Parts: sequence; structure tokens; C-alpha cells
Amino acid sequence: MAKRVLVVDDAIFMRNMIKDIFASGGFEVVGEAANGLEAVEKYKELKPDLTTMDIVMPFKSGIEATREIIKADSSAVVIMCSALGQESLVMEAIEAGASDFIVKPFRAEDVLAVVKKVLGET
Amino acid sequence: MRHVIFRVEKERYGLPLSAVREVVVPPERFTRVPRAPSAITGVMNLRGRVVTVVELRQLLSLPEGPTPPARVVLLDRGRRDLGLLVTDVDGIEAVERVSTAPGKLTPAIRGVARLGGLGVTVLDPEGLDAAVVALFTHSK
Amino acid sequence: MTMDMSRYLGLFISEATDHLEALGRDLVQLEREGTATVVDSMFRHAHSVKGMASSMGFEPIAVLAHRVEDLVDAVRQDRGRLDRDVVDLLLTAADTMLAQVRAVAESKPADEASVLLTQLGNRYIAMTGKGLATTRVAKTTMSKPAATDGASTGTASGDGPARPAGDTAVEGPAGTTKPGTESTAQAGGGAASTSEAAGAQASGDTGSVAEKVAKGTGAGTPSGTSRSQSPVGIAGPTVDLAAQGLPLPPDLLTPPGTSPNVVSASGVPSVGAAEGAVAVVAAALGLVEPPPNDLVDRLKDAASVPVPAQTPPPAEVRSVLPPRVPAEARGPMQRWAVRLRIAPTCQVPGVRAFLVHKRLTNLGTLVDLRPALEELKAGRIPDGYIQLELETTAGDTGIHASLKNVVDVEVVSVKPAVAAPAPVVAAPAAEAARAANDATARTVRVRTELLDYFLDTVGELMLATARLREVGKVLPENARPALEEGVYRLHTLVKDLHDKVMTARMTPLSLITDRLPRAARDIARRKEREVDLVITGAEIELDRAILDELADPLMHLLRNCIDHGLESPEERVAAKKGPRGRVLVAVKRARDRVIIEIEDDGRGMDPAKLKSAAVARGLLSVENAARMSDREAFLLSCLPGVSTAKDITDISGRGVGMDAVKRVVENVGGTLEIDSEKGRGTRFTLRLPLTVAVVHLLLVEVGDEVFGLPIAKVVGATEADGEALSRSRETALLPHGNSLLPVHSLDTLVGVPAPPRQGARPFVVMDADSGRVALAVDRLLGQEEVVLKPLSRPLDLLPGLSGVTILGSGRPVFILDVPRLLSA
Repeated sequence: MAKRVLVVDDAIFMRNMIKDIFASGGFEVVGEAANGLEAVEKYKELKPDLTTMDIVMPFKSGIEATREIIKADSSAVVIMCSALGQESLVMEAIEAGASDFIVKPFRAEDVLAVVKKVLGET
Repeated sequence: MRHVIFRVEKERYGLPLSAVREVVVPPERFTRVPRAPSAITGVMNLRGRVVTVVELRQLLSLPEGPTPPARVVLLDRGRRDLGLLVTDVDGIEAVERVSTAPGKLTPAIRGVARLGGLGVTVLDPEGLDAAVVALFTHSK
Repeated sequence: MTMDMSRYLGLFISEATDHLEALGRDLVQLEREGTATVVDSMFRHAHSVKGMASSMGFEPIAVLAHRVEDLVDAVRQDRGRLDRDVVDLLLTAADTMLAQVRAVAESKPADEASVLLTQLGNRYIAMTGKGLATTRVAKTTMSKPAATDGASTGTASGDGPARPAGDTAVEGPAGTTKPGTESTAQAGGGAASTSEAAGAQASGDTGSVAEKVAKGTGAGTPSGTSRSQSPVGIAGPTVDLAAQGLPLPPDLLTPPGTSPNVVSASGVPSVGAAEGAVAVVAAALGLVEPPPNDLVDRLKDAASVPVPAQTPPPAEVRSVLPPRVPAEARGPMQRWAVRLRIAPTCQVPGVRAFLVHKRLTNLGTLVDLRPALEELKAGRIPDGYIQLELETTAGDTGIHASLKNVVDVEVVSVKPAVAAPAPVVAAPAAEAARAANDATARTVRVRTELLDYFLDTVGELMLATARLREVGKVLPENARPALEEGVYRLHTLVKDLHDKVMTARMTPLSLITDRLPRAARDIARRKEREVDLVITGAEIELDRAILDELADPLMHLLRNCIDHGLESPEERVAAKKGPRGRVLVAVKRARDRVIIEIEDDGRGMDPAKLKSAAVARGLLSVENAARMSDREAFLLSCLPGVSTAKDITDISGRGVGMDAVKRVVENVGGTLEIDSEKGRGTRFTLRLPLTVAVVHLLLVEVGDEVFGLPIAKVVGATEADGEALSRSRETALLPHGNSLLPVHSLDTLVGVPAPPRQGARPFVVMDADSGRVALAVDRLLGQEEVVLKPLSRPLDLLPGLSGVTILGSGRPVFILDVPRLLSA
């Protein structure tokens, strides 16, 4: 069965891109959220196999959202989406329980490689 | 490239097929446009859109002829609803090798080509558009 | 494999534009009250634009956004660093990025803003003493704009075999970013070859290669050149049958309007065709505030999660996921020497290493880490090799398992260690969380032209329904009820649909008022005025078409207030006012109208001066001037050429004048009022209809033509014998009430020939700019409510028309702007 993914990013542009990447890799994007608050809600509602999480977002940062998601579900797999120059933020997210990270600008194969690896599919 | 071939009196003209939205029969009467230049025949209702129709003969400053115009060639110009009133439409033909037209040039004419042994004047959609706008801006 | 990014272009343009406009607003706000929230919001906007632009491969935009992000971040760390020059610099950068976005929207390469980059970079270095980071930009493929889903991916881009991209950071120190980097070259290459295809089409040089290219670029916009005119000409996918060469048999031609099956060279009227101006329709999907019981829920959720230390996750999960807590005794505590390597291709080895570190600390106690953690985090890892010793009960299999699902990490060796324990490495200090509030509203984007299309189509449905009803009247009595019932039902449905479409067109005024603070700042700065701009009620909605029309007039009124209304700080102090002027823009909703008031507390207008200026220009007689109320006199400022301003500055001398403001407001069915008090200020009041779509007209006939006159402007109608009227020089005068009105013949005004008439004829009395006038017409046809359509090019170039409509009979009718007809 296709793995279920939740995509969190405040930019529709990024969400669409990430969704397309996942679709091309045979994943099922079951939901999306535009900020940290929504992300936590959606996570609890959907219980996805994997969540991609932007860091800089309104209302609640991706780090805070990751912390809450991990608190609610310690087996949650959260992949941070970061840009170069955000290294310290990514490390903070890893401290908060993020499983891995991908770096913008994304290349589809990089994203899928990280994700498949994290999910133990390779 | 495929062109829509039409006539003004006996003269043949071509427009790239991609620049033509459709060809229709003119309505019984056009609504006249107040203070418009004389080349503007008027406007017509095409399925709820108001299309401005220009008489190609006047736009290109051609002499008057006896045949009443029988077709409107609608240009595909985005939101610009523009139609050219012509004598008749012949069909679609592939036009190759357009060479520069002799004589004075208007931006509306791109060049001439040969088709079935006869000459055809190839029009430039952008140039036509500009020529119509120029009619309005100069008439002020 | 490179991704075809063209399908994201429309979204990029609209979202990046939103962010950049918001950035500009934030900057203006920042100067007034520099709160942390505003700076955070600015940072997010710059950051988002950087991310999107780099994904799209638009390097100049990405690099510029990166510099802005850095500078904003520096300000965020110390707000004392903010001064006017920084704000100016950032505003310029925001404007430049907007221009760059516009450029790519028109398929042009974005300009390198090298001077600006240097300025931003220097400023950042001066502020922080740090060097500049590089900006990474994706290499992208752009297929022909408007191509349908992937149909033409890459064919036009000349991109050749796919190459691994992105692992080379584009070196971009301030000011030295070169245009020749691969990413730009490639993105530019895509654009160039598409225009080449278009060029081939246009030049008619139809060698087979050119034709293939044109074909290969897909079923896109038929004319490549039309794209360059459209603001966002890349967005809408249209399938055009013409490109595939549908035959066009002339014998199938039918007159328009008689039947729907008119032969079409391009199939359906292209709904989503090229021009893709984006309408922000409604703040529909509002973000939910955190519910008050959120914390309670979270606590409950947390409580319901089994404590991991007591209940280890099932083995199957553990093989996939790193254990998050030190594993319970699974074997004897043992010390392992681990040697790892981070792949040299890894983009951020520091973070990767930190992730490894985190995974391993979850297994046990880490000792003797080399390089040290701080070095690891900074990415200083010679050749990528990391050595460490780990005390754990997980065993070597546990160590392998915890690292096996991490990319870019190679476990070189895991061996039992013998060395003495070393002090534990300190855990990294977490940075402060960067949560922030933001009032960003989620919006649904629908292209304006799509909205227009909906309205057109609904209008057409209404017409068709009316026609059906007419047809029904000639049916025999017994056949009518069934049809009438159907028509009635259709009518109800269409009316309902019309209401829905009208609702969808409603757009908050903030779409245009958001630009005012920035403009106010610029005008005030140039004029050395000080001004506080207060905007209220911007959330009130208006029809999109009215809103579009209002942008320029509002800007002009604001200019007027600051430029002419407000005094200099010294003058204000001398007049016992505060040195800062105040401009209030208040939007209110009153039943079916929206009222916009723009008010300043400046010097006010002098009615006597306005009157004498109008008299001096021959626009007003001395007697009329004497009779005129102050309120009427203020409106004289809307006559072309009447202005009491001492000087015509570059600010208010530009763009539209007050006459244009009044005309626009009236053309959309609104009114303009001016109130002023000397020394106290001026207030402009715009009363606007919520929608333009429906206007009341008086239909009149002149010769063979029918014209619509807006009822709002019609005072009355009367009948008189044109020949018997008294005359003042050339002009006939019609007695009306106590006065004599100048008579204008509508046929001459509109240039439509009409046979001369004898005897009594109707006259329509209307309000015009400088008083009432009488229009001689041939026949009054009655009043009608019609759906107004805006004039498309080239008709909008003609003076004296305010719109066009289609009557129930299918006949197009122009709506006249009589004051303009008289003056032009």
C-alpha cells in the first residue's frame, strides 16, 4: 500500500511541488497544512506515515509543530524542509525529534531518496 | 505553416491559423460605434461577447469594390475581441516562404507568398492589432 | 532528472508577488512601529520568495531575496540597526524583485540587480561583520509556457540529457554574481528557445525543423507573440484545435447568434486563455485561531500516549525508525568504536553529522567524538570522517540499524572499544523558538478573466432564457404551460447562479488600499511632509471590476491630500496644529453602497478661488458662480484645468487628474462629493455601488442606433419643437424649470447620421460637469436594467463611452458618458 504523506508548507507553490514529487514516487499525499497549528491538527487527524515540515511558517514554526507531533506520537516520521543557511534551525528540529531533513531547492530524486531511506524502503 | 486564406475582392490574404479564433457570417446589422474611425464597421454580439469589427479593405487602404463583404474573420487576441470584415474565406492552406512585399510596408503586412501559382499577401496578427489601435489613437 | 517547472510558474508569480507586496507593507509599518512581529513577518516573506525563486531556477531573484533575508535577519537580531536608509534599501529591493517577477511572468529573464546586491551585501557586512553566504539555485527545465500537463516537457528547452543538478552551489558574493552561471544559462535557454519557436512561426520561415519545434512546444498558446502582452501569460493551459489544423469548411458557416454551432477554428472560446491576472477573491479559507481548549486537548493526547520507556515500540517499527529513547537492557553495556563517513556530495554535512550524533545518543552515551560536536555542527569534518565511541546495550547490530536509514552516511566500521571513558560531550544549546503570529489570510485565487467569463456566460444564459420565453408566446395555448414552467425554473436557477457569480467577484478593498501606506510614505518623503495614514474598513468588499477601476483614483486622492492638502510641518505648527498631518481613509458599507472617505486635516480648499479660476477659464459664468454653493464650488476642482494648487509638482501632476477621478467614479455608477473647511481639511466622499454589473439605463434612439444613458445622470425628459427654441449664438436653449439649458443634438455628439426632424421631438435633460444640458434625441425607448460589460481594446480608447451591454434582442448597445462626449 502506498505510504501516506502530510505536506506542511506555508507556500502553495512549495506544497504543489512537493506533492508532485511524492506522486511521482508512488506516495499518497493525504493532506496538507499551511502553518504549524494546522500541521499538528492534521497530523492527529490523519496519522500519516510521513510528514514533510517547512520550518519558517506563520502562527507556529515547523520546529514547534514537530515537537508537538512527536509528543503526541513518538513514532511520527517528520522530515524537515529547510534552506541552506538554516542549519541551526534544522538541528533544533532534529533535537525536537525530526527524523531527517531535505534541503531546498528540492530535487525530486533527493527527496525520494531521503524519504525512502527513512521509511526503510531501500 | 497553415494559414487561413481569405479574399478582399479578388486579392488573397493569409493569416496564421493559430491567430484565427473562428470565421462567422456578419450579422444583418452592426451596432455603430460612436466617434469611431470609419474603418470600424461596428460591433456585433458573438455569443454574449461584443466584438469590434474592422473592414480590412479600409484598414489596408484598398480601393472600394463591388462585392459586399460576406465573412468576419475573428482574431484570437486574448481578451481583445476583434474581427476583420472580408469578402470571403477560401479555406486553410499551408503557406511556405514568405518574402518581403514590394512597395511601401505597413506593419499589418508581413510579406507575400505563392500559393497554387497565385500570390497571397500574408498578414501579421500583431501588426493588424497595432494598426487598429493606431486608427483610434490617431483619430483623436 | 530535472523537473519541468513551467507548471509552477503561474503559482510562483502570484505567490511571490503577494509576498513581495506584503514585504513592502511590512517595511512601511516597520518604520512606524518596529515590532518583532513585523520583522519576523518580513523575514518569512523574504525567505519564502528565496525558496520559491531558487526552486524555479530564477537566480537573480533568489540571490536578491537571500540578501534581503540576511539583512532582515540582522535587523531581527538587533532592531537598533534599523534606519531610514535600510528601509529605503529594502523597499528598493522589494520593488526590484517585483519587477523581476514581472519580467519572468513575461518570459523575459530577470535583471541582475548587481548594484543593489552590492549595497545590500555591504550593509549586511557593515552591520554584522559577517561574510555573505552563497545562494543555491535549482537547475530547472521550462517547457513552453501554457503547455498542458507535461505534454511537451523539455522538448523546447534544448536541455539535452538530464544532468545531476544543484550540488554545486552557485557562488554569489555581493555584487559579483555572474550571469553566466549554469542555472541561469539553462533557465534562460529554455525561454530563448521557446521564443525562437514563436519567432519561427511569426517569420514564416517554415522549414520542417521550425515546424517541429513549434509543434513540439505543445498545444499551447497559438501565437507566441500574444504572450508577451499578457501580464502572466504563462498560466492557463489551453488546448487549441487550430494548432492541430482542423479543417475549416466555409459551407458550414452560420450567422452568429442564430445557432450555437458556429464553426470555430479553435473550438471553444478559450476560457483560461493567456492573460492570467490573478484575482484574490476572498479570504475564504480563513486560518483558524488556536481553539481555547487546544492545550487541554494536547495534554489529553500526550497523556494517552504510552510512555515509551515502559512500552518499547514493536520490533517492526524499530527496524524502520530510530529509537527515540535509550533502549532498555537488550544486551550487556558495551563500548563500541564507530567510524563513519558523510558522503562528500552531502549539501549540509554539519546537519547530517548532527543527525547521526542524535541517533547515536539515543542508543547510549557518546564519548570521544571527533571532530568535536561544535566542529561537526559547523560542517568542519575533514574528508567527512567521524570517529566516536559509544557506550550502549544495543550492540553493533543496534548501531547499524540506527544509521541504516540515513542517507549520505556510510558506516565504515563498528568495533568493540577498549579505551578509557572520556567526558560526555555537552548537548547543543537549542536556539530560541521562532514562532510568530501572522495575520496572513488564506486566499483562493481565480483569474479575473475567468470571473469575467463566468459573468459573460451567465449574462448569456439570462438572454437565452428570455429568448425561450419569447418563443413560448407563439406556441398554441395548450402547449405553453409545460414550457413556461421549465422556463420559470431555468430563470430561477440562472438568477441564483448570477448571484453566486457576483458573490465570487467580491473582493476586499484591501487589495488596493494595501498599496497606500507605501505610496503615502514616498509622497510625504519627497514633499518633506509628515503624515500618519489611517485606513479603516479595508476588509469591506466590492465587485472586482469596480475595484480595478478605483486603484488609480484612490492613489490620486491620496496624493492630493498629502501634496496639496497637508501643510509643511512649519506651517502646521504656525497654524497651531501638530507637525504631523493625518490622512484618514475610511471605508463603510451602507445598504447597497460602499462609501469611501479620504480625509486630510490640512489647509482646506477655498471656494472663492475655485470659482474665480473657473470663471477665468470661461468654464463658468459670473452669475452662475455667484449662485453656486460651496459644495458645488469644490467640485469645480474636477474640471480640467481648474486647480488652486500653487505649483504643479511632479507628484500630483502625474497620472490622472481630479477630472479623471470623478469620471471613473461616475462610470462605475458612483458619485463623488467634496467637503472642505478652510484651515481644517478636505474630505472626498466616494459613494459606490457594490457591483457594476447591473445599471439602470434610459434607452434612446438616434437615427437607426440605440444608446443607453445612465438613469443616475438623467434629470428628466421633455418634448419641444426644436425649431422654435430660442438661441444664444449657435446654441439652442431649452426652457427647463427656471432656467434655459444648452441643447446638444445627440446625433452630432455621437457622429451618427439622422434625418433632420421637424416639429416636436424629445429632449433628455442630464447632469453634466458644468451644469445641466438637454440632449435632442429621436425617440425615448424606455428604461431598462442591463448587465454592463467593460469596453475591451480598442473601444476603451474612445472618449464618451462608459460601457456596452447586450439587450434582450441580442443587440449590443453603448452606454454614453455624456460629460465626456461634451468635452472631448
